Amino acid sequence: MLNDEDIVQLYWDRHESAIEESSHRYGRYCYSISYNILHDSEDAEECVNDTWLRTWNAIPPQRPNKLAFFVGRITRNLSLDKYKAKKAKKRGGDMPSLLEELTECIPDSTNVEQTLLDQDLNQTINQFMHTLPERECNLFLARYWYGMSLSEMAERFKVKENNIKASLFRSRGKLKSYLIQEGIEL
Amino acid sequence: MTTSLTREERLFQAIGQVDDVLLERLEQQLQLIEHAPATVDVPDSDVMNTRRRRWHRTGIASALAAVAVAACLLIFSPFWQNQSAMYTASEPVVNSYVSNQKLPGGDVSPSMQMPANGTFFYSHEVKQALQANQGKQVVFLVAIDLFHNRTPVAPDSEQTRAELKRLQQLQYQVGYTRYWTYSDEMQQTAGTMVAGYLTAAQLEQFAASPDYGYSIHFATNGDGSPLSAEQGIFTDPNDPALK
Repeated sequence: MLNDEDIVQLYWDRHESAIEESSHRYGRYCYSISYNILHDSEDAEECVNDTWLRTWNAIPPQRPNKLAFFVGRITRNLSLDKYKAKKAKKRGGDMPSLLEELTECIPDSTNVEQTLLDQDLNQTINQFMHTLPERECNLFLARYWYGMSLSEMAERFKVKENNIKASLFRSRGKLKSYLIQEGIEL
Repeated sequence: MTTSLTREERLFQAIGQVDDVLLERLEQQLQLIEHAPATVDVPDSDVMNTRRRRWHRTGIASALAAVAVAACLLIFSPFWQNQSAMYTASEPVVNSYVSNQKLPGGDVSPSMQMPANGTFFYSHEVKQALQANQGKQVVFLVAIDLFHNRTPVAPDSEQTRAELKRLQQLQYQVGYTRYWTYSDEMQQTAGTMVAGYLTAAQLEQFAASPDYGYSIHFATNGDGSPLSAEQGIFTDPNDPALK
């Protein structure tokens, strides 16, 4: 199996085998990300297939160091788009619960019309994540980056679900405080 | 597209843009938990299952075998009760480690390395607790894994008892305490671990023997939940209170 660098080079050289290699290496990984969000096999597969096209269009000019996270992000964004389309049709997946939990992180806004540039928000979230203890950060990302269920997290982290819930609850509270401290209004 | 996103969706999207280094750290942590001791190449499932069973059996056997040794004195002294605070793992922890020495190959996490003789590791969580409690009179309930020539030393061994005696003579409140872990069938199984009530000074300037390496972390049960500070430390691994 080719490594990341080799696969990225295939993209740069415009070899169509880049897609096959990506799918071979990261297909399951991307599928699990998408499925965690959508809970629908067909939609998840569609997102994964679209991921390779997006990756093809993005590389070049980009040259990611870690291809897994690069394609994972694309899958995640595509799945969010798909979720929105599904939401319009009143179909759920696990996203409603993920988003409902994230509501706790959002400061009360006195000016709902104020819009923060996404870049600023991304940067602030990233800074916040670096302030969390490692274990807490890992649990937060497992839940809100990968969309893992609490039961899967309990199994993979060897920690009780209640403890995970408590950690996530704390992290959400910290994030809300951080966003207020940074003057962020969503 | 951004304008059509709800606030929660924007937040979800923003979380997706965190640094690779954080995701990398998460992946490493999951691998460590899943494959401890980790290897870069994933072996086939039979080999891995055998390794897991072997490590599990060794750990449980080491812990339970401690029950077979002769009785000594309870050393659960009022020492720590005179201090202003007792610090245990305040929440479930997945320990990762820092070292008192420069590791070969750079500043990699020594989680999967055995401490060499005369050196000690303590976990990031213990380090953070030390930093958070600087200047305060705090005693930490920690577990101590002992190694000789980078090989684990069984808690019930003569070597462990001799080393505990040496540390006790240096006024370290160390001994055995009770915990539980999971069996292969995921049932809770009682065990005995080497642990101690150590001050910040004792942790930071741990009196390592040149014959042993030490891995020091918060004393926790199999699910990462902290041990109670009140359950005591015993010099006798066969003490009825440990059963």
